[in-house]
Amino acid sequence: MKKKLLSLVLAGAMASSLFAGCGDNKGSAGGGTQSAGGGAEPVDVGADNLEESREITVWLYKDDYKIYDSYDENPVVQYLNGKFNCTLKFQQPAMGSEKEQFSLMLGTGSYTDVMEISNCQEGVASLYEDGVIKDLAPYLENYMPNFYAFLNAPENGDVKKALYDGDGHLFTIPFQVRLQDENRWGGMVYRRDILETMTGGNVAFPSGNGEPTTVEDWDYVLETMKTYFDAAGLADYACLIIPAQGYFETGELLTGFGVAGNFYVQDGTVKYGPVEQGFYNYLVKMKEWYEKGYIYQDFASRTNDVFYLPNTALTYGGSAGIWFGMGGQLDGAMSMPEYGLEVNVQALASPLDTASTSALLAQTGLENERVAMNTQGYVVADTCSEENMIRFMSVADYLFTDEGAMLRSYGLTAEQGAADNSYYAAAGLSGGAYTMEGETFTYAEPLVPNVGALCIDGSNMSYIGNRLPGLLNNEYDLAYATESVSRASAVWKGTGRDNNYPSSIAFSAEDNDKIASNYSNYSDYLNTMVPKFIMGTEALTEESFAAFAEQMKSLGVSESLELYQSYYDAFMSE
Amino acid sequence: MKKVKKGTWSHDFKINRSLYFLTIPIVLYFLIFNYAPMFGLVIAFQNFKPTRGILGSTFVGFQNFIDFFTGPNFGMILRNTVVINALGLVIGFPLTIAFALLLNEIYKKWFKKTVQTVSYLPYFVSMVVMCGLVIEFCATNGVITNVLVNVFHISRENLLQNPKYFWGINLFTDIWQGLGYGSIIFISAITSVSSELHEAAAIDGAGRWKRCIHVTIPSIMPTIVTMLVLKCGTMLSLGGDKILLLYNPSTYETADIIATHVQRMGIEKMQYGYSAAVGLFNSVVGTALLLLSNYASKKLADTSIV
Amino acid sequence: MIEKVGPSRVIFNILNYGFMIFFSFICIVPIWHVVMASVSDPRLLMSHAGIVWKPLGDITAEGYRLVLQNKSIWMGYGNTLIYVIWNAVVGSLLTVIAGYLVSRKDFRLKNPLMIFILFTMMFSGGLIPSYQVIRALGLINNRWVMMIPGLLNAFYITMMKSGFEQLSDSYEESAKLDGAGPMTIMFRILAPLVKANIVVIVMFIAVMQWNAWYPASIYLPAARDYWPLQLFLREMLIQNDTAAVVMGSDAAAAADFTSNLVKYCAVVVATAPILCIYPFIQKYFVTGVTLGGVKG
Repeated sequence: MKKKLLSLVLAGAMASSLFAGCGDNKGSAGGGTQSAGGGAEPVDVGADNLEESREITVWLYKDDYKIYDSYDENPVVQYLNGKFNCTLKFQQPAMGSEKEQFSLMLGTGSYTDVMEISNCQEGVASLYEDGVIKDLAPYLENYMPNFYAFLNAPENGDVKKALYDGDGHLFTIPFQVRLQDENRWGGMVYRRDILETMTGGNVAFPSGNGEPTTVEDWDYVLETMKTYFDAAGLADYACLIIPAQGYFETGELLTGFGVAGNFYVQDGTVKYGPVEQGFYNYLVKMKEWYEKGYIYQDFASRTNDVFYLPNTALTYGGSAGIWFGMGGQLDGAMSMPEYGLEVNVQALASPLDTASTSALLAQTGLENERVAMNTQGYVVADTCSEENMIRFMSVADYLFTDEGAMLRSYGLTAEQGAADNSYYAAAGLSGGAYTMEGETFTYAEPLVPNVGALCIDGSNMSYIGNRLPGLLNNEYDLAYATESVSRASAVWKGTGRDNNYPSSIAFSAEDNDKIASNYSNYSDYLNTMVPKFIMGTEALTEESFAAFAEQMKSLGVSESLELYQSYYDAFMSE
Repeated sequence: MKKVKKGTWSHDFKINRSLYFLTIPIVLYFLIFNYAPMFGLVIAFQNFKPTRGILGSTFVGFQNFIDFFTGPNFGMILRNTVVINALGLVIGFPLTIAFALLLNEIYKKWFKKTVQTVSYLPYFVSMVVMCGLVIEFCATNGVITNVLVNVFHISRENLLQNPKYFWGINLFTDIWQGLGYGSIIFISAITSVSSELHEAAAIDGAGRWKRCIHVTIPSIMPTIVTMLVLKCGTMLSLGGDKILLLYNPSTYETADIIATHVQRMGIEKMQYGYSAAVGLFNSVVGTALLLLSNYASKKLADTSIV
Repeated sequence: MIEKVGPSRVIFNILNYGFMIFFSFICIVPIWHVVMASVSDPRLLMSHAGIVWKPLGDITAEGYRLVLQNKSIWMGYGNTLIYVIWNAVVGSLLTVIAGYLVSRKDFRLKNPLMIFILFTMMFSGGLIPSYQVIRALGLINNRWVMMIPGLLNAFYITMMKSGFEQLSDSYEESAKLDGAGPMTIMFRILAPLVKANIVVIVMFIAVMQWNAWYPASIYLPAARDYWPLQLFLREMLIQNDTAAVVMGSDAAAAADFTSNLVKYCAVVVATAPILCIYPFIQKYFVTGVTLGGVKG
């Protein structure tokens, strides 16, 4: 959806796809000072002089903060500004044009001091190679002591490994490092109430388990749902909603067939889901379900839609059976008693394809990372002055302390001057966002969560600092989660939603190019063929799938696989 | 005046001095806002990376063009571009003129005005909104699908998931949105046709049909030709945004045109140099078309835009 | 002029009126749908398929309240108004001049100039070079970026040119004999004769400016005070999208039932003014054209 919208954004100017740059190229300015293979020698450029006020520009994507427009207004930011005698000046593009604005910034060389890279389409390694950003490794020991200590603590080896590249560079101050694994915010869900209704409360799955687990269980569930919807006389309904491209790139459903939706690692070998045998088994099943009318008949056309978020019309209208849901939809949250709709939504794991021997991914699950380095985080522009850089580091470093993590994750306390902040005062939070009595954490009344998680709730987000770098203390957040959310999260994690290729592996600029170009070559073909296989407009046989897989490989999957493998091997042998 | 030879620049400058002065701001405007940025076209010949800029990116000669011409979908994309535009030209464009002529035949003033106002409405509905509605109405149980199933007995399916309907849907929505608005210029041309001509023809015994053929249409011919030439010339550079909203991978085979291909490659897939090359190819062909149609109209109708 | 009405004429008229009514109906239906949906019960709206003929459930103005309580909407309205008026006035003035220049048969620069202008319609350097030019002119985050770079457009110039060329040469010749200079000829004598073309162009420019948000999103990144209405509305639409199930890195989990309503309302808010103003422009437009016709 976002892609399409983005394209639309650009449609205004026909030739907007022609990007060019002015050659504000710093060349090796950043790279030259570093020794290539060694770890970082600490660099000392003088202490951070807090007497001197500094204005630091920060590029950040925009979000819906509900109570203010610019992140400059964020209470935590204002607190930090006072504490560190600086002004964090956020430059936030209009929503919907982030990626384009980021490319524009790169292309014209007018960088902010610090940039958040979620919208950057190039890897950090290649940004460094092109002289856009600084290597931060040499500064950490002197200017980010807390962060440095955190990285070097034995229990944080995973984060350290993810952050440093093979040559000992470190480019990003992570957007957030989670102390504990978070609850999943979403995954597959099903309407259990339908089954209860149809069986008179004695739901029994063919597998004998209490929840649907195998493909046979799903067959049964879907058939029951269809009977139910048909009997209800609904014109437009969907027992199962799948995305327009025909599969979940994040792996839902697929993992039950032993493959992931993208590049993943199995027994040390990198594989690409859509060309594996398990994917064929998946397609065969989906085709069967589509023919039987289980799968949403309009799925392939739902690539974008202004008025109906993908299929909310169905899910909230009570005419969907299984879909990709969220924590906030569980149990009876979607009931509409005033319209006679009582639902019971429960989490659901990928259907295990018991007929196939390769169905392993769902059982083992995939490893989870505490930090995603290549996709999120703050980098420092090479054009940023050293003074600004070390001041930003001081600020960020504070957010890696226990105190800073609390501030970032839960907002201001009374001691931190909650009453002095107009937004806090206006919201009746003069006593701070939370109070701690010993080990007991109490969230302030106006902010009590309603969807099983504190920080990610839209209205609370305005009062905390969750767009800043630092540690995410999610201990109390997890404790606040409702029981059903925790239970659902466990189900979703067990399914192995993520592809487990380490996201911290950074490709060189050249290889990044190759992978991007391969992707552009095979993705159209893939996205065209999968829905056609499912809808039956393209014959699906062992032979035709083999031909499809061969074509995919020759369009660049093979080359990308080799690259992924070699980087993975190098990463693991470190 | 006699000192300066007629037909020379200095002669022309002398008699048209103020025109030359008026030209200056116009030329400056286009130089600054349109020509100055054109150095960006260079990236069509580069393996362009934003971080390296034009000066830092490596030149690859015609590789980007070769990639496009030898790519697996070149033929398909070209065909779709031609067909979709040709449909608009052969069906959509004459309908616009016909609508203007038909409207002209309506003599109830209030009715004419109402229809005219109403017919522009769709144009003011933004593209995004309109496409959202089209997607909704073409779904398996959508309004349009229902009509087609009941009236023409097609098999019930999502119309936007079947490649064979895409051209029709695209043409129909184009007409729906553009008919009223596109006819403005013709209506304005028709109303400026001298009423004396009409009266003279009426006196000669010409009925309304004959007057339409022999008076109205010839009078608005220059407008028609101008619009036609412009349509031919710009047909390759317009229309991508709507298709981007309506198409999906299962209809690429009939829906993917050069403009959408450029968008997908350039923005979603970061192939900047490649998409610039395709865009440049598009522009060159478009210019050729423009000149060609201009030449044709000069020959056939003695009207041209250049 | 009174004419005999034969039977074929009657049939033609019936068909013609019938077609016009049918076509008008098709034009109105989707707009009707949007307006009715914008005052419907949001929950019912979500589960409704097909055209909304009348408001679903109790009529609600909640969506409009949400849209209009946003202060930026009003600021955006003000800005858009400035941009629309400025561009319509100055832009059409320049277009008339340019169109006049390229329609002078005895002007040697005529063809080179036309090619020079047409070329810009076909080739464009792309976003980044354009940005750099604008930056070099000091127009980034500057209100004038909405008021200078969009003034001229090759397409409108071509339309203007064809208007001037349809006029008989005699107007100009007689004016010249009376000793009128080119400015007088252009604005006093010829421009009133091509009033229809000018009105059409003014309207094209106004509509385009009304809908424009792209340049603002690129060139006014840090100047929200100068944003046109459409950019604010667009952000509202996108904001609701970011909560979408599929994207959800943050997934503001609780689905907002009003979000659909807000979208419909935003569409109405963005479109209604131009729809309301249009009949008045049209009136002017029609009289302008008739005057030209009678005099001709």
